[in-house]
Amino acid sequence: MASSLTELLFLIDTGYDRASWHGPNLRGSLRGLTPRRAAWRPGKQRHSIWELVVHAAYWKYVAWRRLTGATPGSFPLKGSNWFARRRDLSAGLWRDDLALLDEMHRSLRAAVADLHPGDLDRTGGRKSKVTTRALVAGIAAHDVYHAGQIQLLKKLAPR
Amino acid sequence: MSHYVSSLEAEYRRYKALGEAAIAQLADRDLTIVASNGGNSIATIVWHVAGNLESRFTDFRTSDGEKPWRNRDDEFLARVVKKSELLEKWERGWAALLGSMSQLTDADLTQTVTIRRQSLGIDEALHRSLAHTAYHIGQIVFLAKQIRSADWRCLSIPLGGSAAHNARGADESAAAHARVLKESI
Repeated sequence: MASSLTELLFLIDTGYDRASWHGPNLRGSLRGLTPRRAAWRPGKQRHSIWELVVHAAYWKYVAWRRLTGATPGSFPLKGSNWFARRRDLSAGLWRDDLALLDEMHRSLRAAVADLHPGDLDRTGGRKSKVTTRALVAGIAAHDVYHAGQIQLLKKLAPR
Repeated sequence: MSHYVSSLEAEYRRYKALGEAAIAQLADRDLTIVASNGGNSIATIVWHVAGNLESRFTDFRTSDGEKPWRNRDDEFLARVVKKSELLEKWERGWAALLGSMSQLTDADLTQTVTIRRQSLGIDEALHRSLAHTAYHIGQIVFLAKQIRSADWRCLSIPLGGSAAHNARGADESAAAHARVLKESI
């Protein structure tokens, strides 16, 4: 189906930074936030917006790595999934993490654009049950899932 | 084989299971709690998500997705409901979606449907709907977590559990995630 790749790109674009029908996408939900509000958490053991940003960047990286076959370990931060970001609330560090998210998205998008439509229903290796198509659709939905949460966190975080 | 339809359906089912695993942790009284002034309760969000799905996917191929019988504004009114009533509404919406999806093949995705008098591809209609659903289910999970606080049972890889998860080489498909969530209820 010729439109598959175009549609997958549309899906990840609207989930991230292209005007979307469903409301704020992930990048849109972060517009104008200060580091202090981004670092605010609604309770003990709860994630801040800042942590959601790095978490989303990490999973875009994982998806990129699976699409390109790159070796693990090249994510710029040590660890996986959730990353503590609470020590320094400087605007520079917040901008750096937003830039990390943008960079991971751009890399992922480029990898998706390079796919051959025939690759979309292949799985990433013998052990994986996740097709390329499902992986990309999953990342797009993951962005929007957290965008919905960021919208609520913004309402709660003190100005 | 309908790879595309199947992968989208699996993703939808993942979010359905996430919503249900969150709601399962709540009592009737929790369903109407709002996190902030003017915010929506879980009951309101469920009414909206289910109302949207029921309208969009009833007679999906043959009628406009915005049904004359849908009252979108009404979905956002504050309401007091029992969990059983809430889940009944939820299931009605999902039944319309999953029933329509079960009739689709990949070859149908380039066909068009009408939503609010606008013609759009079935693939695009499904993508829009998946994004809308995931967005609001993210909010349901957030609110449920907020309400349950320390008693919340984690629905994904728990904090500090990533290394163990990676070492297990877990099946990361949407279908496997949905299965695990269902078993947790």
